[in-house]
Amino acid sequence: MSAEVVIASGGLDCHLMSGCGFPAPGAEIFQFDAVVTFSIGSLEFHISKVTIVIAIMAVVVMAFFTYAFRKPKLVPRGAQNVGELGYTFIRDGIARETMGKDGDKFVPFLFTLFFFIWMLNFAGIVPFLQIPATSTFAIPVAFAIIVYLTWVPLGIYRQGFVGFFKNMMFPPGVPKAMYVLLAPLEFLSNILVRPATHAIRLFANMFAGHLLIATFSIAAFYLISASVVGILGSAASFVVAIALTAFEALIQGLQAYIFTLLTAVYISGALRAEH
Amino acid sequence: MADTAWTITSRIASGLLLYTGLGWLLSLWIGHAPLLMATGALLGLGLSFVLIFGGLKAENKRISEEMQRKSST
Repeated sequence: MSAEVVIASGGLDCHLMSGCGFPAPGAEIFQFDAVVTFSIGSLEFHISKVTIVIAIMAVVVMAFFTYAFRKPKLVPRGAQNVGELGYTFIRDGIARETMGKDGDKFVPFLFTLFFFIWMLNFAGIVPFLQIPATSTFAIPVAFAIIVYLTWVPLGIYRQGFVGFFKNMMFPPGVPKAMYVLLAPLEFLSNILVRPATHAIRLFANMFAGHLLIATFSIAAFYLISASVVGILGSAASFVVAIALTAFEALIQGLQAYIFTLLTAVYISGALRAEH
Repeated sequence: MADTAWTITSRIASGLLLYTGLGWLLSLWIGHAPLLMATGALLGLGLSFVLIFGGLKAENKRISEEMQRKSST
């Protein structure tokens, strides 16, 4: 548990017998003060912990793959092996699975998206960083906007302006007479709700996961006291916090995968009319 | 498709949003906000179900045709 969580939740003296109630963590554990503030022209920049985590993770991803592929050998070993495994996973498991051979063009995009998001999520269980950058809503929103600005123009380019919206708004399998009522619904679903859920899904998962770990970490700390209930409760909370950390490690990879997979599905839908 | 589950979610959400919103807009004009919004919500839900089941039916048909083609070759 990081120091700021303890302090944000009522201080180091807050224990079971000291009379203060359980300091349940809230949204404040996701808010960080600016470490550095500077301005370029009229733009003000507030560099907080989240910004730093993003920068660190960007460097980590770049450094790893630069190192892995600096002198590629025909028979991969070590880091190159891991890098190629990741590349094959994205190409065969996501791009070709959803788009067939057309998907090869989008592998660099999906690859970057997957590993960057995974590392941003992973920051949640790295000691001292301990904040998944994607639990700040602006970050998944930024990713969702990038994806949105990829598949919408691509769909218009591939299917034509009229064709793209026609294919989107008139799905097969429903009575023709109902299209008057269904077309606006489908338009709203694809143009507005789809990017919103794309961002919210990643954000909410990482937010909830981090909150759970923080709750049990604080409980383990809060319950320490000279009583049977305190010791047992503290130990149980500690074990649960560890288990949740392991679970989070799984969820982080899974959410990055789902985000990338859905990106691939959206691009695939833009490439050709669905069904 | 991999996004079937999320297509269902977003169709239900947009059905509810759109037709409840339309009911509310209509109520600005002729009143009866609760009645029109409730009717709109039900209509929107119903329409999103039509879309969802229609889509699933079409998808099911496509998949079974694909499997038939694969087994015949």
